[in-house]
Amino acid sequence: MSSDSSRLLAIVCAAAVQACVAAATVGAGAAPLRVCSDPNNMPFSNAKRQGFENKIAELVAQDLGRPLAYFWSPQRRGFVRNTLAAERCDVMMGVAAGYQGLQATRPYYRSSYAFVSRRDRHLRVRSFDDERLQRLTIGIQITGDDYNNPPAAQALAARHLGANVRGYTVYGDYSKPDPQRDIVHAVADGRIDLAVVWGPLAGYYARREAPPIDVVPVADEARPGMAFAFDIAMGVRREDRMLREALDAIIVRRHAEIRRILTSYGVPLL
Amino acid sequence: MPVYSLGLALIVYAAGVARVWRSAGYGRGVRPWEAVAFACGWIAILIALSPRMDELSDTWLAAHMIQHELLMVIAAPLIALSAPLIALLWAAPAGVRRRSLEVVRQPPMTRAWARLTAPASVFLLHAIALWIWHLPSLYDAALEHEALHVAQHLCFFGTALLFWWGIAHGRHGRRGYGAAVVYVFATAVHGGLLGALLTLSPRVWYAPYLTTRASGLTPLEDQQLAGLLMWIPASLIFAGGGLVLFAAWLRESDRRSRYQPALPLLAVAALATLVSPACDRGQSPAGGGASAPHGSVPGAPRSMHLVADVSHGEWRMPAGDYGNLRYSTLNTITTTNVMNLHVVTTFSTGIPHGHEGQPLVFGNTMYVVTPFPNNLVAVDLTKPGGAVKWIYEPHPDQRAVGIACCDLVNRGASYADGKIIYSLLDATVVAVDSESGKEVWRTRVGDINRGETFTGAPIVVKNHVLVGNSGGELGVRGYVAALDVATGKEAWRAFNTGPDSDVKIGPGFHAFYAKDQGKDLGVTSWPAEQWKLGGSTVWGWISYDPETNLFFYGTGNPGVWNADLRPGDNKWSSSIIARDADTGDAKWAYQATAHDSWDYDEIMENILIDMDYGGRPRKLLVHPGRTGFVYVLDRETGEVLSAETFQPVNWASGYDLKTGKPNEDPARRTHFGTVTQGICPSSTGAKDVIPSAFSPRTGLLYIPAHNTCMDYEGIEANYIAGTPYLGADVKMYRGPGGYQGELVAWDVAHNRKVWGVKDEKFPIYSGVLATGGDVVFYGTMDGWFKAVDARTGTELWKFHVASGIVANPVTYLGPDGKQYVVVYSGIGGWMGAVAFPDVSADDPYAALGVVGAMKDIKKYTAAGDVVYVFGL
Repeated sequence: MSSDSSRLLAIVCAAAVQACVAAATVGAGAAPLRVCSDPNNMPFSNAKRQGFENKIAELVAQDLGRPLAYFWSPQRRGFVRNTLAAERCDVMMGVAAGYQGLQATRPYYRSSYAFVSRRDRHLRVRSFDDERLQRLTIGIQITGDDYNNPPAAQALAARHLGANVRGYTVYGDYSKPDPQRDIVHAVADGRIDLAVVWGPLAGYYARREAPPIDVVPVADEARPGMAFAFDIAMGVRREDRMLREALDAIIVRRHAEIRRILTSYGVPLL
Repeated sequence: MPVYSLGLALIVYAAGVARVWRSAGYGRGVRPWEAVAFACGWIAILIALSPRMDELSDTWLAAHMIQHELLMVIAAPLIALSAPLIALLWAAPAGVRRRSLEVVRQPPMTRAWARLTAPASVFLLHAIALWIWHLPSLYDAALEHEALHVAQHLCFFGTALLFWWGIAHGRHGRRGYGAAVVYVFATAVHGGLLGALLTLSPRVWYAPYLTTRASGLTPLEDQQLAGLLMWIPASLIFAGGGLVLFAAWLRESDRRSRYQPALPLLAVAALATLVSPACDRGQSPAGGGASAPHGSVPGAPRSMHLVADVSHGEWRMPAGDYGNLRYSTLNTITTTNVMNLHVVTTFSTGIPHGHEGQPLVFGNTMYVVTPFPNNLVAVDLTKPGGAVKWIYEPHPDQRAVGIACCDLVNRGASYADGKIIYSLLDATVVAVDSESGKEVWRTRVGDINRGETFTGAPIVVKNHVLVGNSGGELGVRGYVAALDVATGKEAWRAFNTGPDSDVKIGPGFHAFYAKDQGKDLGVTSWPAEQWKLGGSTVWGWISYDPETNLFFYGTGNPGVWNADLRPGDNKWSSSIIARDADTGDAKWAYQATAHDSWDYDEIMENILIDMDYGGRPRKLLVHPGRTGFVYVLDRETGEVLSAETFQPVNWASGYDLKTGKPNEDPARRTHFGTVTQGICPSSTGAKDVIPSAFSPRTGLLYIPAHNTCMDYEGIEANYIAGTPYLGADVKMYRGPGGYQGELVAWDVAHNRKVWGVKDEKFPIYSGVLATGGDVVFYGTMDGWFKAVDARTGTELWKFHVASGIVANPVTYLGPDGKQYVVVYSGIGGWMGAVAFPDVSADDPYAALGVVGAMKDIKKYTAAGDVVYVFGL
């Protein structure tokens, strides 16, 4: 073989190898990022991808260079077992940091429960020790977990205010959109005087009510188990270190954009 | 053909009687009663050979037996006694008569006749004919060939006629009478023996009768009825005949003065010996089959009475019977042969989730409800290995999977009105035609959008399907709904919290204890409006007493809130409630745990039995509770007669039977944020929904128990529907004694445990089955299906199945008349879900702390879905 042809052959081979490697890389990168998500839980997510977790998922997928896919399931007891751990999806966009059963990334925001009331009531409640609570009806979210409930339930129980409590399930009427809206709506239309609602929900739905609604963060209490502020992170399978590290990097690098998305939804950030 | 011969016989006889009476005077030659006897005998033959009778005897051996009996023990004796020969002679013209008499009086003829009609001969001829024609080969052949069938009837009738003739008219000296008596009694005995063999045989003798019928008795039951028909009436008639002869004998001899008093006694003794075995068997023939009159069970004390028929070959409702005994009278599998039990067939449902519940078996078909998606599989048991007839796929709402709290189980179906009726996880109830597998109706009863799911098994009482809901921890309000069995339309809904009008508490309601009396307690025992989210769901078992028309069930925990947020008794959570089956009106209620703070649902079975208790007969309701106590109530009033512990318990030291309240230990109450350690039993209880069984023969309640205690600490990050919170940190572990599970045998009458079989490794999370063979079956979570002696608890047999057992075994008669036992394998349910690969065993607090108690389970079993059938 002449030296020209052998050089040509070498170039062709190198190109072929390059092409194969590139294809492999692109191929691997093109595996969709599968998100475990609730199809009806605004403001977090819904099947129409209108929630802020949907927007953040899009940002993450775009940064990773992967198409976005969803596995939908109502987010209740057994959610992690039925979705993430069952390998039907790879990432949960929001989970309380410290939640067992998966591996959490670094938190990407911190928020707290908030007192929600109509501005024209001038209630301005800031603590559970406020003695006006004795005469108010107070709405609390119900999570449906064998006597486990958001911290407001415990705070009120400790003050013997059970009679003032009205419960609103976190899944509401699941056949309608915005199932968690009712607790804030009940404040707006006067069915209850006050509600203690998780920040993102409070901020989002308060904006959508006609009468102005105050959203005031609740401070942690000294009692054990009385944390009202929580760090929220993303969650992946325990063994999925690569994805967790990639997500950690994105959370740092794209911090400002993530924050913008959250504030656009009215999420009270701490 | 018989019509003509019968007609001819009648004409001949009538002509003969008419002529002799005309010639010798009325009543001479042939006495009036003899003519009547002939008429009756003739009518009996007419009935026996009527087309309708022939038609029935094609399908039913019992009908065929009636035909034979009509011929042999009714018509034959009557006609033998009707002086037929005289009538026959006189029917002929005078000349023929004279010549016939001359012939007949020849010594060879008279000698032959005497020998033929001697008691010994007629006895032998009759006996031989009876036994030979009952041999299966000949009997089957007779059924198949009409000519042989006619020959069979002729033979029976002929030898019977000779027999009775010989006994009644044969030459008797003193010795003759004695011989006659002996032969008649001997016939009673051997005839009775044949009847007994037919009754007691576990196999069907005559193959043509092995066809399945649309309804009614199975082939074996039919055979038993036929056997009884032979045994009892035949014995009585022969014995009666023997006694008449005996009396005549005594009268003739001069022994009369000395022995006459003995006659009545002899009569009674003879009758008693012949008939009493039949009576005993007649109650409930061995091998199961013919309906046991529902008051009793063979081998049980006379004082023990069932409220309803127990299973004796079929299984048509979740617990097998309305009283929820989970007992079958079948007894061919016994303590001496159960070690030969082996797998007969297996098949997969294809859904590797928790298989709770049990199949239905009737009409030679097995019906299996699978875990979600709750398909109904009908298996034809007459085909080798069992072949799938059809599968009904209801396609329930997929979202129910995300909403149901504790695996995707289903606890079974009921059969009624031609339909298989069961619940789907998405709170729908369906009715499926049991023959075709087509859906008949489908009713959405609950709303999964509000967190309701259905896992429990409905029962059918008259025209109502009674079904309860699940989902109490999600704020669902508990109820029992009644649907019309024909259309599925809801008739009423009785809630377990709320005002009396919702709970259907009215003027007919009377709670036994003061603590349960008062108006609108379903509202006033809660702060403000919390009863609206008051749980008290009904996901366990429902039992029914047909005599009082009441159904009984238990309610779940008070739902959503931690106890501190709902001061008050929180009625009617954790209660046992009695309601009218037609209207749903509450009759009484008893709250076992007021203001629950441990998650002590009381949805366990309520077993109904009448027995001697505390020195007199009582109508009982026995409820082995989550709390670790066996509650024994008077089911007429709701009074607690006894509450004793069947596992280590420390949340309460006992119950004050005067007030009905538990004596709680305040140190074992849970409070959010407070550490409380060593609470026994844990939230999963000393027993969960998995049902126990009761044997009327032993008087023992067999309880699948857990020995689990818990620490309650209250600090763990949780997250549901986007909402974070701190949940109770509950850690469960084995209780005192170090074992995890125990099959407890509880003597109901004496309120104490008599023995227990401990399981070192895991709680007993399978249902129990008790049988008439005194064998008790149950399974373990690591996959052992076991048989123990019902009286001693000795393990007699075990077999390792493919996956842990959380289901309830059932026994039934196959198409071949043999006894089989069936159970699902497939670990799951609240405690078993830890076995699934996607549940981590690393965190002892996960799955509400269950992982701590169940962490080893992955070593012993994985998810599965195989149905096992065992037989001898």
